[in-house]
Amino acid sequence: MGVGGRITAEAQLALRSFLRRRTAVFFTFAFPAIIVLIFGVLIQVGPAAGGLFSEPPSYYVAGYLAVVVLFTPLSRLGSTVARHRDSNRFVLLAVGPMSRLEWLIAHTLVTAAIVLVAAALLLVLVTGVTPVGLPSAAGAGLVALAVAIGAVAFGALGALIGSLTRSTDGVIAAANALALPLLFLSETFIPPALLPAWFAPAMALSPLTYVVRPIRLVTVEGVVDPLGLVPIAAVMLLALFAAARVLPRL
Amino acid sequence: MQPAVALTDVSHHYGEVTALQEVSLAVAEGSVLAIVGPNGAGKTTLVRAIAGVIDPNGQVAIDGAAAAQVDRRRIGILPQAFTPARRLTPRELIRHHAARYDAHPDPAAVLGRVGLGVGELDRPYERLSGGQQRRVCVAMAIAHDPTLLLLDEPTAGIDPAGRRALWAELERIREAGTTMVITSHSFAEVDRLADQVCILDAGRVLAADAPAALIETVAGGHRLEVTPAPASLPPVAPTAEVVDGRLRLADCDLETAAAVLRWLAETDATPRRISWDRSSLADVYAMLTEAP
Repeated sequence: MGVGGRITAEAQLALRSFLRRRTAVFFTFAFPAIIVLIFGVLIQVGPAAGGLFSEPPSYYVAGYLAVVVLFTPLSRLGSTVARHRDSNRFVLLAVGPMSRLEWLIAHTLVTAAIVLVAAALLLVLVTGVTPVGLPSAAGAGLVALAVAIGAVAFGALGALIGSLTRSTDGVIAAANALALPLLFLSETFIPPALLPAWFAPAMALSPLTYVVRPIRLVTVEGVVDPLGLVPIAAVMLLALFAAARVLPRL
Repeated sequence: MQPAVALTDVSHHYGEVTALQEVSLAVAEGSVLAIVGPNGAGKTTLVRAIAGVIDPNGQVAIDGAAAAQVDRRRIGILPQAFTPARRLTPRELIRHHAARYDAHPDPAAVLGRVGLGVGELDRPYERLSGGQQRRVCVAMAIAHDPTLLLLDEPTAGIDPAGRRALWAELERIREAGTTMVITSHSFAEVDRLADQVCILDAGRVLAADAPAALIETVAGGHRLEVTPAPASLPPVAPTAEVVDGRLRLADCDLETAAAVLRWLAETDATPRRISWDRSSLADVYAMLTEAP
């Protein structure tokens, strides 16, 4: 069976485990819906809204998707690592034939699948409550790819945080401390023109920016640019290998 | 014959704390080594060193090869405080865990071997009793038929009947040729399973040998105990000592026991209990680790 079989077995275990945690399932899908309802329905973003939210509604779709791409993988993988460490499950991993990279790939793939489902529901919700249409098939494919790559990248970063912090509380605090600034300073909801010019290079350093930009090209301009995914794909590979190296052995 | 597991001058430190200190041991293929010792003695660290989870100083060899180079499918491990995915059922846990080893056993058969009833196979792990949960963990360790089994306190929390059932299964596994290293606080378990006992304290091996040899060389044939201890020690038995309020005389032959009883009769002592028993591993352990 080999590597594929081991990854499949671990992924099945992770997915079953997630689906039976009803609270986690509920909030995974409820959280992005709340964001859409606040921004899309309550604030009614658009040129008429003025202030921070005066871009056309389609501009913010990438931001809504960024919420699921960022928060769910970061907190999910971080807490998974903390839970595995507290339960001594990494000892089995260290002794058995499955490598830490295989384990990480399995868990990030499951997270990517969950995030893709959440993103699809979110898109449907957005088209239902805001005047935004669905992208073309090619555009939808690129959006799905961006979401999946972003989810794996931030999942690996979550695993990195989970490995470096010593408690579950620490994981949540560190994940939030990273996610909140990233969410608002990655060309998600606040247009770069509204921020000081000296801050622009910092936005270019955020991996989330490279999830948002190709998605926004699709939703605002209808342009499909696969090469725009290269930076986030590189981040994903780097994060996967770095996290696999530091995953706990005990 | 080459030992299945050989440790040579193995030492390990956690920061300033010495967990293992120049430990040398050999475990013959198909035999059971039991590691006993007080809490914090280094038992779990020793198991981790054999498993290759930590990288200690010294040499750890499995069938003559360095632990890191051994085919990991051959090793089964049950960590001390281990909890699998709590919302999965025992059947799912066995299936998924064995698949990591490219093994596909019948989960019901594996769980049956550790005494888990059919009614428990599809109940979430978190809804099983503590003893049933521990049996599931043991089943996970044996699911892929390892040839080296490392069990850190395998029967902790299991009721007496369940413990006996598990011991019987471990005996069957040993008879099939599996080498086992177990840690335990139960002398009944060690008496029943171990071919070799290692008594560990503060990371050092105090004694390691076959149980009968340990008893013979450390505790002698019989032990005399008088409860409560009399006010003074018997002059006829210079090696007698008071432990936990009891007069204890190790390696006490019948003649010495009779002399102590005669001396007792001449004193004002009013013992509640006098026993003269064959020495046990518990005596060996007490003599080596509870020395005043």
